[in-house]
Amino acid sequence: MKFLNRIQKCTATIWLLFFLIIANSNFISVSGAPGQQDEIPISGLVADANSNEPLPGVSIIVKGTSVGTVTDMNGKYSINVPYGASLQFSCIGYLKEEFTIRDETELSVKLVPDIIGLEEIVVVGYGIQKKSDVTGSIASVSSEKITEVPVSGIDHALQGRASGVNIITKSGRPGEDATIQIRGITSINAGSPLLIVDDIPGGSLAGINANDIESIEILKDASSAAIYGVSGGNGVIIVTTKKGQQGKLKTNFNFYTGIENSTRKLDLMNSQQLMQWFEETQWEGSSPRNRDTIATTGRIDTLPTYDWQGFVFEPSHTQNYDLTMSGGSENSTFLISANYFKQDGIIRNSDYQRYTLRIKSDHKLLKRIKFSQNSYYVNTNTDGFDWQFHEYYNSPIIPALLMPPMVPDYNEDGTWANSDLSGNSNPLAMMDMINRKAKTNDISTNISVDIEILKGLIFKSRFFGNMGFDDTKEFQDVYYNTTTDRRDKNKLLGRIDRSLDYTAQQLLSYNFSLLNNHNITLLAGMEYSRNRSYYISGERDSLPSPLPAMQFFSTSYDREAPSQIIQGGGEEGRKLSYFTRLNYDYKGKWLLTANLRRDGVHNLHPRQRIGYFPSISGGWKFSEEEFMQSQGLISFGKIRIGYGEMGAFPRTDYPYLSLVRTPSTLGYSFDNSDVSSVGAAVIQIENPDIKWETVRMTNVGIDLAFFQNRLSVSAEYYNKVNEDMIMDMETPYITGTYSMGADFDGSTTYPEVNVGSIRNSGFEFNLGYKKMVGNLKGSFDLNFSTLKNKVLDLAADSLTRGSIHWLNPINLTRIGGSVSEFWGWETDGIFTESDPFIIVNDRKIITNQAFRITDQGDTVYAQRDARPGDARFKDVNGDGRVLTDQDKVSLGSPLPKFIFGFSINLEYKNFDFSAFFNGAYGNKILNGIKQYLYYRQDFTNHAADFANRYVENDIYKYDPVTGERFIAVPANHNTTVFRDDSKNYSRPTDFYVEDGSYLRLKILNLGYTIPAALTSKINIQKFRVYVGIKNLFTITKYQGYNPEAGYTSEDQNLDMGIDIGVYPVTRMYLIGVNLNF
Amino acid sequence: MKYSIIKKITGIVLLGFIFDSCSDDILDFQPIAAENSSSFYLTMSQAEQAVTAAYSTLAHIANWDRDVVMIFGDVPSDDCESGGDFENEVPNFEEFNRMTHLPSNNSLRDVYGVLFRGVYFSNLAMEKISNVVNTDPNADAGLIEKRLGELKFLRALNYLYLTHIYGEVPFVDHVLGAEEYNQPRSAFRALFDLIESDLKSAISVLPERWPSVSIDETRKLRLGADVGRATKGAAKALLARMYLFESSYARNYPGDSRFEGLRERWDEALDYSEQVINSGEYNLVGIEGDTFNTWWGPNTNGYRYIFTVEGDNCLESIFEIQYIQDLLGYGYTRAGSLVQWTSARWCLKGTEPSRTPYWGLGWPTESLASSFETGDPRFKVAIATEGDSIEVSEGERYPIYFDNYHCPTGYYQRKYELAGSQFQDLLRGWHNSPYNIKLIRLGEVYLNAAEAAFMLNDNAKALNYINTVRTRARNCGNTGVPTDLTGNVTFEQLVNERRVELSCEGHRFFDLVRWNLAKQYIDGSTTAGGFPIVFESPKNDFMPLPANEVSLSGGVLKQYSGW
Repeated sequence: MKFLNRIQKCTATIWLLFFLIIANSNFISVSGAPGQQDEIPISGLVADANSNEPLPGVSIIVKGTSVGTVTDMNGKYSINVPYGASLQFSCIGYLKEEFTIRDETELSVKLVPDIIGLEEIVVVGYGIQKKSDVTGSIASVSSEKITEVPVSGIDHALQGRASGVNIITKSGRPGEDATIQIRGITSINAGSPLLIVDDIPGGSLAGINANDIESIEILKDASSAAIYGVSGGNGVIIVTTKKGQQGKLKTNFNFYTGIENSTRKLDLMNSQQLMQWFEETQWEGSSPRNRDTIATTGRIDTLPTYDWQGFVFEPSHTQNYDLTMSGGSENSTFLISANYFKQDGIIRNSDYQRYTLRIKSDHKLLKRIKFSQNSYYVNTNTDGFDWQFHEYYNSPIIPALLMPPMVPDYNEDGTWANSDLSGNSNPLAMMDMINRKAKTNDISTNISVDIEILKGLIFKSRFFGNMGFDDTKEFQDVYYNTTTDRRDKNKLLGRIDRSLDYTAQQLLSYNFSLLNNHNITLLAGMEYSRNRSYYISGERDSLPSPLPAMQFFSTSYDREAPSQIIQGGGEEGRKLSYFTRLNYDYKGKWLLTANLRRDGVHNLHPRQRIGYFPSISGGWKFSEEEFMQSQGLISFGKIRIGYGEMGAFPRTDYPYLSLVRTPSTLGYSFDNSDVSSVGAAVIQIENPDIKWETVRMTNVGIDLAFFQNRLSVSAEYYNKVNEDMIMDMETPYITGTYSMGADFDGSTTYPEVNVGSIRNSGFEFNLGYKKMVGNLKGSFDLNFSTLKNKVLDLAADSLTRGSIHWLNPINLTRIGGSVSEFWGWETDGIFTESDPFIIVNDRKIITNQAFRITDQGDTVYAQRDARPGDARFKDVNGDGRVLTDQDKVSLGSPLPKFIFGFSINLEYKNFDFSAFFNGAYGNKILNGIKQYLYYRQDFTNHAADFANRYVENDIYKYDPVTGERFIAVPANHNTTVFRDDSKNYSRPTDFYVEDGSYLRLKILNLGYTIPAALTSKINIQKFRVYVGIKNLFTITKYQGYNPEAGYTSEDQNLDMGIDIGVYPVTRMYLIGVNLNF
Repeated sequence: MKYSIIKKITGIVLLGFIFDSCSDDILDFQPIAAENSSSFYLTMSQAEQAVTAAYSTLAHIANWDRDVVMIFGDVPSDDCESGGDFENEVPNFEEFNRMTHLPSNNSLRDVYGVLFRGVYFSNLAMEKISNVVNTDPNADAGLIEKRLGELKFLRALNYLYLTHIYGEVPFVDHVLGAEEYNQPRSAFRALFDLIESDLKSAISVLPERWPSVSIDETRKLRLGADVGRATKGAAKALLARMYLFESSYARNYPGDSRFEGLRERWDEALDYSEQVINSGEYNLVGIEGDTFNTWWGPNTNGYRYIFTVEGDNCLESIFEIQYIQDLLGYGYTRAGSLVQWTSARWCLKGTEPSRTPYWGLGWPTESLASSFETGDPRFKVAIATEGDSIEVSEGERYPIYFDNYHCPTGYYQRKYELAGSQFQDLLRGWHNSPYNIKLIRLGEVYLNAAEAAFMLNDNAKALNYINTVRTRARNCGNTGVPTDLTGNVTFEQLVNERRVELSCEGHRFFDLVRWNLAKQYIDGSTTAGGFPIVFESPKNDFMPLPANEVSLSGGVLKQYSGW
């Protein structure tokens, strides 16, 4: 009964509106019924307005009918037209033209090239709109641009393509997602833009085959994205996939293959330099009376220097295959596409493979009913380390940099070579022993029915389901590398993840005109989505044999120790939404769009569960006004302004409930055995008032086109404020909120509150220019955006986060600053021999430094043990101490001041050329690699310039063979690097913070299309071959591998910009073909 | 025909959308993989889980970065340096050695957080589990009462360490409501009153020995399902320790506002210590010269036996942190890290210096080494010197290597060494060592009694207790040292005996402060690497409160002067 009630209730909701509109439509004359008229034969020539060349294949349709024709090879056409009807001329790449036929018999038309795509249709939330009518801020990226750069995921392909969209390549690891920030850091809570694929929310960009994409639209401002309500706060990316075209079977095949390698090697000391440093520490370590006699290692001149970066990074292979077939009849079209992508990775055992298959079909069931289906399968396989947390301990990169360079990769017996002196073990062991495979499988299907109830009144129903099956399996075999790097028992780890999501969507839209000049489109819709997922993971030790057939969990267990442990978890989410939109235009000049969405989510308190998200925007196409018609300079002009509200809700669990959990960290052993008793506690403090974040954005923009649309310029400004930002209310630890860091369910213990506020604002500029000179066609595109981020309010005075090795905390977020600024001490040069000093208790104390006088009247110098070669730290607050919390200052922000991208495309006869640059300016990076390369420890290698450190005296050695005395380490007083004392390097200082600005030539492609005259003989329509170079050069002052390195933790944006030695970005040389037949 | 198929398809599709949707009711459901607290704490087993959680934080007390024993008990004192591979390898710790630490030092924050989380879990369980007798027909009211006693013991233990480290801290005896989050420091008086009343009620309900616990007389071990739980003796010993601290503060800091209202209660300290000594539950292991079979050998002396895995829960031990095999791996794993950290870092393979799997933290100082009488068997148990060897993995034993750079004091700790097999043969590799940390043992109780008796001018008792400790030490070797003291026990003798008997067990710094001797012993000394240490009193008597706590309080929580 309840079920029936429910059906009644919702049918009422949906259909009430529906009937209202139908009822209304009776009063509106949709269009005049055509009178009984004679048909007039008409003919003519269609040509390009710029070049005057005839245009074949232009489609000509009698407006409001299905009668039409196309121009022939010479641009000519003829057609019969009723008196007074309108003829529409359209051709891809040209502006549409329309003429009313009265007495003419001949009509020759010149079509203006549509450089800036005014006639293009852009996809907006739950619909489409003509680009020239858009009043919000939407960036479109075409499929050609997306496929231009050979990357594993299209998130990377979007980098630098749209203003206001900052895409950061976290690392060069195959298959790694990029970080996408649309118009800044919306919240301290990490959130990624909502992804919409063919109208359905959800999914990941990385799993989409670039070749399947028809277009990508990025909804940047609130007036565009507010229709996505609570999910729109971080921006929206809409992906539309290709569909089949009517006609005979078309096949398209693309292939490329490339060789990749690291773009850069870091300069390290050679074996001799490292041994000198070792001699020096031995000398320091030995007692003074022995110093002249020790002969630790003898002559070091002949030691070899091995290139450890070369051992770890090796050239690797990438390949990509696409096959697309499409075709269909008048009533049914289909498209099948398959893709295989494989990237081996420049570090052994870090391969990534992806298979995708898409089957899409569209059917006209009846005149007014369309049915379409879109099914997608994607499988990814990632081998190697679990780089998820990018830990030093999970990466061979830092250990490779630290290896003493005189140590080879392997010993003669094939074992891993090591140095007994070094605490750093051979990283090739972890590379050789890694045996981990992570697989993901997603199967999704989207079915939809479109019913045209009346002219202009369309009902759309969609149902989408996705099943995810992910499996990870890791086998760790027994090995021995060093006393500390070893595994005495083998181990199997496994994890399976399952998910089932579905979304149901119903849309009703009605498009009509009032009094001819008032065009209105109404949309009403509802969406319900539900997702459910769970995981099971386990570990098993001491497998009976390492054979693959034995690498499974087993029913037996060891009674003595927990040789098998299992854990798991699950969650379910539901969301129910209603939304409506009004599009209105007056004479195509004045434009208005208004949205309202109502969202409800399950994981908030019932009284906070429902939210409303309105937006409104307007535009004025002033170029349509009569006073603009007389001038020839500006061919298009539009001003637009918009305001809207969106939401953001980063959490999937229940911040309003006080939850009890039983993570293993709460267990304890009472019987002194290996088995712990289970412990349970409330580890989440509830806040019943928690609600979602509200993101309010204002956007103003102007779009202009000049010289018959050859040059287009658009500029806009936005101001985005996140109010009620959700953050942990950091309560004092007396409330029990200290986090052990190991709660596997990932829950935090602090109550969450809506207190913080962040503002992002920026100016965005786009420029496009196209010109054709003879056979040379050229285009230039540029986008440029400024980004300004300011924290307006927080639940605490400041938040500190971030660490690498001994450096912590690194990042500070405080009111008035930007999110996640670097925070540390400033250095002020190096103490030298010539600094004045006094002698106290036989010790030199350098006196030109900060000091204070104690209550007893003693002078206490700030750096009491400073020696020549040590860093001098700044006493910022002048209290006579250095390195106190009050001396810490902001050392810059990891966020860029502006980002940009520009591309040049040229075509000459059958040759095509493209170059694409992108870059960022003003972002700082904390070069965490330096923490390892300067900070002395464990007889590890150092950065090359460390060889120029301070050495007080010549250090002599005796040759153990000849007895000859020689200078093993010459004195060095003129130095630019700090002495090798940990105190110089163990804290976050300006030494580590570097300028991360860069300009990168992201892709350079040169292609040649074999003349159709040749290829058509073998039934090939298009045969293009090309060569390309990805990441040919990067201009930057940054000293690490990649100036983008911006590791950030998974759930918060509070520790951005720390380079912890991530997988380097690669350079790739590639060759490819495109075939159409 | 065609029509009906179409109808069916559209029908199914439309139905699918309408099904199960449209009303906000569908948003009403509870988490599928966690329990809401209102539906928990209803059964006896859930009550047990709540108590277990309160114990669980103990294991974190001995984790990396959170070690009360080493970082706060020993490194700031004159006993140990931070150490490692070289001086200042771990700047976070070295700051405590050099007295250059700042309130933002992460260890200050971690230890404060763990101890207060222990207080929170105890408070939470205390509030919840009493009600179980009303909701679970099978609940055991008597056992619940004992569990409440354990929780009070745990709260007192956490609080006593908090006062040792930070001095006056906020008073939290219940789960705080949202309006109570901001708490100032509480006076020592109130904190000690809470500790005292907690321990007294724990004493009244806890058993002397849990029924499941049996004793292995040959191995001098306690065994059984509840061996890790708090007992009456543990509560008494802890209470005696508290009285000792209260009395010392009162006596040695007259007029100091920090210790206002504290009283000298030596008689109570003596009384409770003697109750433990005379309970018959505990034994100074090895006092009769008996030996034990451990990885060190079949005839390991009793004093060394205490500090072995084989000697976990031995009769010397009154309360210890049970090692937990939690499989959490590096950075998360708990308990037993002392073994990893403190054993010698370098050994000699042939003539080549080589690393051991240990970290060599907490170098004993020359000052500590020379406080042992020559021939005292406890020296060899506590400290490794030139000529000693270390087992780096099963069956591989090498001489320990010293040089001025890698270990300028010339000493490593060795109380916590393990057999290579015990150390390596662990599921999660080398960050997890199966050793129980002995927080309270009988040797300390004897010295507490001796000190209290001394303060009460009962020389006979003081002499007796201190000599009992020395007798055990003497009988653990064959040098006849240390000999019995005679005549009037002096304060210096008490101080030195405590230093030697309890070396590297996390007592020294707290003791120096309560005696008001820290400045005398620490100020003006230098580290082995030559860093001159400035110890300012009262500033350095206690660690500063974590910077973050002070900043969150908006001025309510204040640092002591000097910070």
